[in-house]
Amino acid sequence: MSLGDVASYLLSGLASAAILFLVAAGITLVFGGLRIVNVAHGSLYMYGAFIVASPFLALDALGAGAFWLKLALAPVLVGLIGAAVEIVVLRRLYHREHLAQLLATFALFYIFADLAQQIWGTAYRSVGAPAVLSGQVALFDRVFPVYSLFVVAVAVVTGLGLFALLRFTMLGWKVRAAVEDPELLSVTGTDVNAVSTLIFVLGAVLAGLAGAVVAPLQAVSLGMDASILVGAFIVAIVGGLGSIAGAALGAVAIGIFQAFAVVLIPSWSSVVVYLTMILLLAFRPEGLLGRAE
Amino acid sequence: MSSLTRALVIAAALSAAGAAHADTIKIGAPLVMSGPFGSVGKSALEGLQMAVDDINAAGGLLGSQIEVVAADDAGKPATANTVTKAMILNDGVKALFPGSNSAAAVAVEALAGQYEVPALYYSAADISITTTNFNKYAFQLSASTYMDPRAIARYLAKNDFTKVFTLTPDYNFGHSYVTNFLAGMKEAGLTPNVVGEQYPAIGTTDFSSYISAIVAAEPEFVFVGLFGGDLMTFIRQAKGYGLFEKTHVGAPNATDVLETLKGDAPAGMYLWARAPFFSMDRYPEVQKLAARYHDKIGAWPPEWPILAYTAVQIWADAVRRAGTFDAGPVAEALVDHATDTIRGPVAIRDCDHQADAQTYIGRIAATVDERYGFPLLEDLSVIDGGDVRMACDEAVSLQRK
Repeated sequence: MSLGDVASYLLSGLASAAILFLVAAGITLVFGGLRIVNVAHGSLYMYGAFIVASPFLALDALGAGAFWLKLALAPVLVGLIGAAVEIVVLRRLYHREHLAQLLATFALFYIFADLAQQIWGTAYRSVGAPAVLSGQVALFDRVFPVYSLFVVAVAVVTGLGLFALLRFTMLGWKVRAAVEDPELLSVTGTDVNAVSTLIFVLGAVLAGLAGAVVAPLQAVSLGMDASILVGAFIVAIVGGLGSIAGAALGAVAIGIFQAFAVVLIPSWSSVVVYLTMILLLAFRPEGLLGRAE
Repeated sequence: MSSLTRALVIAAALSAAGAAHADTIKIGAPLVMSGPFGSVGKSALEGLQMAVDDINAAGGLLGSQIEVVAADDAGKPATANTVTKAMILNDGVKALFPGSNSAAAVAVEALAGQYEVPALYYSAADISITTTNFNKYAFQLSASTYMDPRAIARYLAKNDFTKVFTLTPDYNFGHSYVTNFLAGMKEAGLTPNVVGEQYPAIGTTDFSSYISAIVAAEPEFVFVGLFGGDLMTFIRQAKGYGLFEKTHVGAPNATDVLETLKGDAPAGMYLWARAPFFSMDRYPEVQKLAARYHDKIGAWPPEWPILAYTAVQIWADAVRRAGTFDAGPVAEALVDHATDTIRGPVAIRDCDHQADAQTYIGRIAATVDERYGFPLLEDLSVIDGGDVRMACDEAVSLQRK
């Protein structure tokens, strides 16, 4: 294995990790903040991708700028959908057992899938990256897509931004307080309902952003909602549900493991992710950076 | 009017209505119309309906009008079983035109054999349909998974590629596709040197590690057996890694790739398909059907409507020659006869009911065709199915197991 090979596998592992992190971050945030396992997170991701891959007549007239506008618009629209979901459906279930909440998000998953078919049909959609991001960078004797570097950059900025938000802002403090002790928080006069909605909306925005950013790398179609879920959930669990830093660590570990596994143990490469998760959870059930309950 | 009289009047009206419909014959179509492969079934249905409309407009079949009963099986065998049984028992369909995947196909095939209804396959292509799961009412009109890769190997033989890397989905189709391709290479006189074999899971969203592995192995040819959304995702990502400049890559589903990726489809890539209308200029009826589809749907057709239309044509022709809709005589009329269809003559052989289906192979052109908005295939070859079918002895012995 040459140096060029190693560098190439590391970079492609990081590119995979970036996507995994963007999706897992929303899952782990919603679980940490609301104790909800949101299966419909995959649907929100898919909607983000469809928004970028669909023609918006008014925007497309702008040519190259249309991609950037749709990239900014997708998380906002998906965030609004998230707000609607939280207020109309999930808020009524916080006092119910976890199973009811899980079933509700499952139901939403199927509803969103059907709705997507009504809105966008069954055909595959394809959207190219803007020219400025479509090039390649040379690395030793290899070539690496600029767009993947862009995805890594988005993931890093998002991760740092989230971390800062939760650690250093009043809003972040409230989110963390809502997780630790909602009753005490409500005594201070904070509207805990509003904080819950905000947490869910933030999760939805992250899902929409992930889908939007990933759209030029995919054939956007129905089924995207399911195919991303398992990998993203594994990353969130390995990292420790509720921990953004854990999701980042888990994503990098799994992304790089898989990149090398594909080359070194091809017949087992698809299993390596699950084996990693099982082994890790056997020794540390709360995940890498999760808190033991 | 007394209640008895009223009842009699209603009964008379109903039976009159029933009599008016006695001349309608129904054909069934369990199709995948939802989920990631929903476009297969939906477009196939258009082809089935057009064929039926044309038959009805020309006076029907044996004096009867034909009606299509379609149902979504979601690509799942259990659902396929339910909807097909309903079609057979409630609607009394005289033939089945399944347009779904191979898993659902097997479920339908069992029912076709059990209830004695001819089933004409044009989308599902697994070899088991004509071998291990075979019964006398199943007919395969497309190139099976045995034939397809052998056709490609023949086409590639002229290039003398030996270092190959395979990338196919991780289930039995993916594995047998590779086995058949390597066997086809040997039959074509090449000695394959497999520098890598990868089996990504269906629904893989991120192929970057696989692509890196392929580039590192420096193959002469990459045999890709992915399809649907996975294939297009792979192509998009592989472009970023410069794969198509470093080596030769080939994949199926030419129509999906070209019509979805359009100008972004990588020039020079090898693609194969069963019925790409834009490579079938020698069949004017196919061009007419494509234009008709485009007028109605607003997009150019994939191969499914053309294959579905042909399937109905073949069945209708057998019915005319048999003089009846009954399954037994129709099944006999279907074999060993070259039917003239919109895509040329199609003949189904007796031992395994496999048609001499063609495979179209070519390379993606560098420029987009103005008529269609996507690049076409150049360096085109049409491999005759008759040359690459499994030997009858082998097929029959597998049927007996």
